[in-house]
Amino acid sequence: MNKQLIKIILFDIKSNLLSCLLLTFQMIVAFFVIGNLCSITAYKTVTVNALDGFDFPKNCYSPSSTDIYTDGGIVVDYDDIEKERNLSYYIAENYKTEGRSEFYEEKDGTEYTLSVITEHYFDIFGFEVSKGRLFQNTEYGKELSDNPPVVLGSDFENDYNIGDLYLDKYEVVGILKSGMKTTFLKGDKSSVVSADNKVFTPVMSIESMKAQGIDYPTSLIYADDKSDLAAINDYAAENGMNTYNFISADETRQLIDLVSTKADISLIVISSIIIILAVFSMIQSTLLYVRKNIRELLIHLICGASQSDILLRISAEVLIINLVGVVVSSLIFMSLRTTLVFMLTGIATAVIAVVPVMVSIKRKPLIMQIKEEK
Amino acid sequence: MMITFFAVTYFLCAFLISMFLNSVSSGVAGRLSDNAEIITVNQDNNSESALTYSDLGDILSKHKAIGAIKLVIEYNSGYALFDYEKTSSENSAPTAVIKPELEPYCMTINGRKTINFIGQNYTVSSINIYGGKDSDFILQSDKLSGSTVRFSGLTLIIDNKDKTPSVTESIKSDINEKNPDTNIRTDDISKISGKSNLFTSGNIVIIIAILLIGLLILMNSGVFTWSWINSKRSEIMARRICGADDADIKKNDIHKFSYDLRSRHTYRLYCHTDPYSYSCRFLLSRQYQNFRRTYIRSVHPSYRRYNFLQSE
Repeated sequence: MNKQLIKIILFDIKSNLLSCLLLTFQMIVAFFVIGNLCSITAYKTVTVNALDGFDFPKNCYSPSSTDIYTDGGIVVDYDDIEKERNLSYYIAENYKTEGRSEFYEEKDGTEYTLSVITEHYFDIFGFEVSKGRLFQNTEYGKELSDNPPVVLGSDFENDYNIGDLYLDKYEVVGILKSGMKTTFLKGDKSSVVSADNKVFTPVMSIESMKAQGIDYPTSLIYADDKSDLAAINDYAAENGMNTYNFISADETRQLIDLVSTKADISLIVISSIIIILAVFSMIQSTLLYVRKNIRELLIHLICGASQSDILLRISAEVLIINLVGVVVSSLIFMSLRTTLVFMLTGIATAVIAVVPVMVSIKRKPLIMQIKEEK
Repeated sequence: MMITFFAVTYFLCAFLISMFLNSVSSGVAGRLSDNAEIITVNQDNNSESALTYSDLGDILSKHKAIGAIKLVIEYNSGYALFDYEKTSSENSAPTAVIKPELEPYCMTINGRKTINFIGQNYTVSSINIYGGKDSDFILQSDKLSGSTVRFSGLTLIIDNKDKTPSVTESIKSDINEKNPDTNIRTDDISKISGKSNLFTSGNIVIIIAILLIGLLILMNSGVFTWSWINSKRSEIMARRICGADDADIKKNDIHKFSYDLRSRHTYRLYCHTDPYSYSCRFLLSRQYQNFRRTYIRSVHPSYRRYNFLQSE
């Protein structure tokens, strides 16, 4: 019986293939918009939650460069980097800063990236170690030593032990727990990154940093008032460099809220309108199907099919359209949360589309409808 | 349901058209005259002879240039407008109109909200902008003399109407005179104005999305119209029996379809004035249907057989 029912359903779909394809396509478009909406919401949730979880100091601001891009992108050469490095030393000499900067060590022809961090960096991002310890206060701001301490991300856990030398030079004092996260504040483009593959070393004295040609970490700059940072722009302009605008962690959260809300509203409007149109078409399609095949359905009923078989046959088209839409869209987005949203939307759409037909059949049995038509 | 469907459809159409117009609107660049020209200047900003924005301001001032500098920053873009023909507002402070998304970057200096671009502080005069898709900010500066930043490259738009070609040539020669190593390229305004480059990579995604949804609307409308005609099949047949030809049926159906969309009440009024609808209503009336059923059952051979089978 089931096999026969499936055959009948497949035949029904085949006879109405064009309409089915159209509606499936429409559902995929709707799910695509919903998927983008989910991605924006997920980004917002993850970033804002992470920013809430970090302990950013109140009066800290992150610089955002106003470098001008042209057709070929900005020209960055050695002198530019040198100028920027000098700016970082100027900032370090005149302001209290937090954050991390990166430099490279070469070994056997391979470049390894190390992150220089300030005293409260680990506290701000709530880093914890699985082995060893974090840096002690006395290890920050020191002159260059033979074996500077390093704390490794959890990816290095199997390769290094406490006391080992990283790149034959840096003494491993701790290994971070897995899942530690960090970020650079970049307004609405801020993103949370994993610290599992990072190698951290404490910031040295400005003189040592200058001697080694390493940027001073200035990703967060303390200022009682934002306008106090105007001097940084004055210095940059004097040296012919592009200037900066500054943003705090709170302002970053507000900005992410503003940008994602704007995007959410337009995507919600578009997706709901497409779904409403699809639901209308599905209702129309099922009603038309019943009207066209009313005699056949009645014969099916007379031959022993139950009421639920008939309802399944009528609603099969809608269910398959939604199922295909959900599967294809889920394959595009490959996200469990998004798939769940697709499934819920698909089920809701199918139910709404099938209810009018069910109600009409309950109110007026098929035999009555045929009689009326006659 | 059909009224709701088409109401939603029309709303979506209006929404899509506004989205489309928004996406193709080129804002500041679109308001420039057809004579406007683009000068792209690239230079090594670390060389001693590299031009600063201030130097550029002096050159523009010398030739009384009117136009804009297109500024593309990492995550935003906008224009710095200049008009060196005006002399009255030479000493006015540089001002900026920005999008709300840029407000968090502002800082308060001397009680005024300011934002920094190209090495100069701009007083924010408004935080609400509609300058097109590529205008997150518009800067108004009579002089670029405040900026000592040496630029590596910039896009300059000169729009002195009829004088544009001569002004452009003069500016180019002055730039070359100050820094002979500068690479200067001149382009037609259509490159950024959006007048002839509707299908840019940024626009194409939006246009495809709009066309796709438009296609869906069209196909849905087709399905709906088809089902509407299907539901009126018996009525059309009745009309034909009563003497209506193809043209009459088409004409009346189009009328009725549009009336149906507007109001069922209007449709009812329409039925009273339609010559065919009287006969049609008669043919579909209960009295006629009962008469027809009784007549067919008594006369038609298949019904006679049906009755016979039933009695069997």
